[in-house]
Amino acid sequence: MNRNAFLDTKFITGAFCLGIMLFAAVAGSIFNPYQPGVQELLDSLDPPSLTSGHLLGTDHLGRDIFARVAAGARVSLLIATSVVLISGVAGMLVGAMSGYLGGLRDVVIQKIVETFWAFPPILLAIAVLAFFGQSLANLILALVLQRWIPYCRVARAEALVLRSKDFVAAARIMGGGTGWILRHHILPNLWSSSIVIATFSMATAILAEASLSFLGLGVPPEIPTWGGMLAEGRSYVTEAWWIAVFPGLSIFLTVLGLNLLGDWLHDAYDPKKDLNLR
Amino acid sequence: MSAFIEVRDLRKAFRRRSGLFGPSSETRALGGVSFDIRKGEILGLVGESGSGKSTIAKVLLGLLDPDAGSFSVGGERMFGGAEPAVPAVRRGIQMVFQDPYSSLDPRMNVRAIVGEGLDIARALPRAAIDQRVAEHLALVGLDASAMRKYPHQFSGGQRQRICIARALILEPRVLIADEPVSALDVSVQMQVLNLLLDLRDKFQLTMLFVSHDMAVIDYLCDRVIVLYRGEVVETGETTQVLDAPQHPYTQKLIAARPGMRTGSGIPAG
Repeated sequence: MNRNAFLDTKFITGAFCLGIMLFAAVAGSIFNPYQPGVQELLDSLDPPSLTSGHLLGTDHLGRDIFARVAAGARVSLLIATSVVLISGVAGMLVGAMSGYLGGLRDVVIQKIVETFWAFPPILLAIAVLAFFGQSLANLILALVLQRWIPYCRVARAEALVLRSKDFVAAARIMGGGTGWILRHHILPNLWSSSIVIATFSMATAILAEASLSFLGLGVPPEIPTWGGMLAEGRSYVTEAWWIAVFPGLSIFLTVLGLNLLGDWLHDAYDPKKDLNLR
Repeated sequence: MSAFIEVRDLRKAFRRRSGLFGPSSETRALGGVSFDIRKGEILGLVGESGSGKSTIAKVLLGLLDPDAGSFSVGGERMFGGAEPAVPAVRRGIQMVFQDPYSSLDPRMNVRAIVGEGLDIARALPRAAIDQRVAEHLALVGLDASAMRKYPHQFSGGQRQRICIARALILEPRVLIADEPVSALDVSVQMQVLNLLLDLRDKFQLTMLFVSHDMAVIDYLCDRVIVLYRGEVVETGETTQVLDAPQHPYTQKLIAARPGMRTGSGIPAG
């Protein structure tokens, strides 16, 4: 990565989108006098206004949209970050072992991966949530079960290449066992590609969480989420567009920002581009 | 002088199956290879690609199990006996690779690369390992300040010096070099070859030097064996083999470097 990479349009736009969202999330929970869960039935369906106090209006129960969007951001980011971290670590470890060990163990692991891959992701998540019940932890589990696959595949492919490198042979000649080689030669070299997948994966996790919450299968309904707000706003969309539009806009900006940043990282870490620079 | 390394009747074939139930085909890599290396000697191993040079190197390093045969170093059997070789004995054989780029982990600094053998063994405290790494860098003509740098900050020749330092840190008795200079510029080749000669004298290293460059073999090796399709077709003192090649394949190899014996192939010194 060279220094000029930060002047890239993708980076600037992506960082700008995410910056707005993060700023709004922080401002909405610190400087906004309203709480996301407090109902003011007399103020229900107030339109967005700079003077009435409800900057983004209120929903059908008189709850402040700005406060709820900010609270939803925290929930979404918490879920997405946990999903990305857990699935990333699990997928990388399994994929690296699969690729490095090879043979029968590789075949077995790849069959398991293909089995998971064969399920439509939302269906798998619905099945998990229906079976284990609705909670934050189960939602994270449901999303991890589908998100670890891309890490695993990429890690396996890269481990297959790394395994035949001379520095791995040198480590074996010097007495390094499988654990040593995985820790010191395989996993550290997977770092750059895992960062790129993590960025895209974060966007997908946010979308998946929003879809499940929209269907009413996400976190328990008392926790405000973007998907849940979209579902509530659906029935009022003709008379109070702001209930659905602002959480929708939040999803849009966050996912767009993450995808642009992922794209930028992908370009910046591209090994072929790296080769041209030298 | 008696043999320090004894290789007897080494055989290896690679089997591969086409499809799950398809017929398996067999490629013979080594068809009964035997040779000796004396203590402190540099033995050249010559042959075209596919002749089994790398297979011999891998078998001697323990990276590949042979189908049959035996191999001993200094009277200790490495395989072909009842007991598998002790890991400590195994580590007495080290390797310098052909490609100075893929043989160094790009994400490790030179301290971690050269000290890796000692880090794996965990027999020394960190400070002592740092000390040993600095000594071995000096040995191959690199400054101790190189320790905190990464492979991409070095040239091909310097990288190969780092590889040599890494191979020597476990104080091996045997060094196997697989075309260590073929990826380098001619001027740098000489420096690395001279370094290997110095180190041989200093540590009484026994070396197996794999190459297809007859000029390099001529400069470096005491004796040479010629490998053709997995079999040794010629053995002898380097001068004898190069001056009066017996096997037609050896004659062809030497003819491919015209004028070599008059000294124009590689600059002396």
